[in-house]
Amino acid sequence: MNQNKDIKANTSGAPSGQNSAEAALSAGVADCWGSAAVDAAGTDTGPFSTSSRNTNLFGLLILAGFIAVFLLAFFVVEADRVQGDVVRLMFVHVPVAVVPYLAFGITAIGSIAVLLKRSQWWDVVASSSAEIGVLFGALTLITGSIWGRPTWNTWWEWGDVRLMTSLVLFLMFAGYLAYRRSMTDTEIRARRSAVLALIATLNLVLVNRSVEWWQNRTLHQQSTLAEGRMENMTLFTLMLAIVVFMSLFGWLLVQRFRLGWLAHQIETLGLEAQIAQRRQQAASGYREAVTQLQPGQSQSGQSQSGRVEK
Amino acid sequence: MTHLNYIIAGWLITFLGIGLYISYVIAAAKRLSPQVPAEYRRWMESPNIDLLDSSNQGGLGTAETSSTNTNSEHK
Repeated sequence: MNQNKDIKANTSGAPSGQNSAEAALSAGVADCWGSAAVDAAGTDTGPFSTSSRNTNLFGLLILAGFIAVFLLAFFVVEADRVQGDVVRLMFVHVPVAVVPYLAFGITAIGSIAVLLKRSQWWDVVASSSAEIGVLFGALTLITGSIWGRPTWNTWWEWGDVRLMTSLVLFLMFAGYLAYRRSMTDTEIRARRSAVLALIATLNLVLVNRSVEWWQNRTLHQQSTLAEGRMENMTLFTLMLAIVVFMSLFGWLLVQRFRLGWLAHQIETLGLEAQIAQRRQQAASGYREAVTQLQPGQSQSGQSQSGRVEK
Repeated sequence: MTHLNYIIAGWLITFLGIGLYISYVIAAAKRLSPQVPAEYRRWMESPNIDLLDSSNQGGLGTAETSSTNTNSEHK
C-alpha cells in the first residue's frame, strides 16, 4: 500500500523531477503526458473509473434487458403445471449457472495464452474472468439451493453429483484466486496460476455431463432445453435471460479487466520506480564512498609502497 | 403467487450479489485510477492511442505515443 501511495504522490501532478522516484516515473511516461485527460497545468483530470462511453451504453442496454426479463418472468409467463410459480426462479438460476461455463472457459483460453506467449495481458483477462466466474458460481449454488427447497424439499443434497461437482468447481477457482493473492512475483504468479486454472477447468466437463453419466445419483433433470418441451413464452424468456446475463458477464469482464490492468500498471510502475530509486541510491553511495576512500587509499598506497620498499 | 418468499429471495440475492460486485469494481477503480498516469488507462478516449491496433495488445500505446514503453516488456 505504501508503494501505491508513493506512486499516487508521484503521478498526481505534473512530472517535475522532485525526487528520484518521480524522476523514474517521469522518464517512463514523460512523453505520454498531454492527452485529453491532462489539463494545461499537467494535472490528471480523470475520469477516474473503468467506464467509457461504449461500456456505459452497453450497460444501459443490459439494464433494459433485465427489466424486460423481469416483466416477462413475472407478468407474462404462466405458472408451471408441476412446479407452480416457483418456476420463475429458473429465469435467474439457469442463466446464472451458464455464466461460469463461459467465464472459466475464457480463463482456460487466457491461461493457455499465458503459458504460450508469457503475456501479462492474458493473465489479467484470465484472472478477471475467473473472479466473475466464482461470483456466478456462488450465485448458482445459492439460487439452486433456494429453488431446491420447495421443489425437492431439501436445501442441499450431498449425494447429488451436479451439486457436488459444481461446489468443487467453485472451490477450485476460489482457491485459484486465493493462490494468486498469495504470490507477489507477477511472472511466476501468471505461470503457476495458469496451470492451476487449466486443471480446474477440467471439472467443467464433469459438471456439464454429470447428469448424463450418473443419472441415478442426481436430483437434477437431464438436459431438456433442446427437446422443445417448454412453452414458447417460457423458452423465449429463458433464452432472453441467458443472453442478458451473458452480456452482463461481458460487461463485467471489461470492467474487471480494466481494474486488473490498473493494478498491473501500479505494480509495474512502482517496481520500476523502486529500481530507479535503488540505482540512484547505489550510485550516490558509491560516489560518497569513493570520495571518502580517496585520502585513505593514498595512505594505504604509501604504506603498501613502504612495505614493498622494505 | 405461491412460494413468493423463495422467488423473492432468489431474485434478490442474485441482483444484490451482482450489485455489490459492481460497487466493489467501481470503488476499486476510483481508488486506483488516480495512481496511474492518464495515458496508461488504455480504455480512455485519446487521439494518441489506437485501441484497434493489434500491436497495442499488452502494451501501453503505440510507439508514437510512448517511446519508452516500459510495459511492453511484460507482454
